[in-house]
Amino acid sequence: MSFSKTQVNRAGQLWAEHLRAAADGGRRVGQQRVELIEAIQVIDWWREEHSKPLSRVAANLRYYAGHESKPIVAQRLKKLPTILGKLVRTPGMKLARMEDIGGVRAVLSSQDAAYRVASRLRKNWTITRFRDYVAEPKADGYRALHLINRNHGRLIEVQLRTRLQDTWANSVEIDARRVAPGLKFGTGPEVLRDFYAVSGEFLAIADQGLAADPALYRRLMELREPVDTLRRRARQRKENK
Amino acid sequence: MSPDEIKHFLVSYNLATGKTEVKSFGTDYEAAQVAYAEAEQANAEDEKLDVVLLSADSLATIKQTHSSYFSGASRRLEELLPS
Repeated sequence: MSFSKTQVNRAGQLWAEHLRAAADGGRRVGQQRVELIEAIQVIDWWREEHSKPLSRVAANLRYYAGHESKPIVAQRLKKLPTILGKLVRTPGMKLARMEDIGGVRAVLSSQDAAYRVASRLRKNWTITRFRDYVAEPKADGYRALHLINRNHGRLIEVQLRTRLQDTWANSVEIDARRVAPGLKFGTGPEVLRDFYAVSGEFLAIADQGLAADPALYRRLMELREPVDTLRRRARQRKENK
Repeated sequence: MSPDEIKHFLVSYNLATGKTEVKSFGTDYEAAQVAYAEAEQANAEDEKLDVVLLSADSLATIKQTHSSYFSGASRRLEELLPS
């Protein structure tokens, strides 16, 4: 089984249009059912196409990250709902050009170590894009170095994080799942968004080996209770379901 | 470590109970991918599970890099912050 990039893009587009229509309340599933099922098979195939390049990139990253310390490296094939969600949210995005269907993450001991690994990769690999979210964090406070590597015609995303950045990002994932699904997309309770923006900055200072900023410290202390309350309420809602 | 030595784990996080199940496929990436697609299809209607295929040298590594799927991770950030 093999498909062209045009077929891959068409499959992605069909699903994006279907899900947008469904969100608007206009379900026309009946007529399209066969096409949608076929399209999922194309999308699955396209994801599988990334597995070998992904494993090669991960093995290579283990080597380059291994100069620093015992490398902590893991890879993932993007979840289907997340692939579709990204297509829905990003009009005009072509599935064949999605950069993070295959993703590999390395957790490093320090910010300097992460920058050193990044520069090694840029010297030795075909890097089509480098995003420095340490110099320019995302609006939610996310920090890491992201590189896109082209490997055997497939794009693979490499994330280089410090331990602190990784702990922070995983915590966002948890709260996005339990408290506020929109957290990763700039929505959700302001208190929680504040908490992550401030704690991200607080940890970035720690990653630079500098002393804690007293203003950030105070703000974190103030946010602690309202954040705990939000999480507790989310837990209670779930238990009452 | 060569790409063939990597181990594959299908991780299912139950959104209702907060419990995580891990199915190990050893080094068989193909079988893991088939199971991944099947699990996603089975879950497509009600989306009760958050299913993801993760691979590394060991499950211990995954528990670190993808700690959000495993218990105790939310406390880890708090431990790094002033209290």
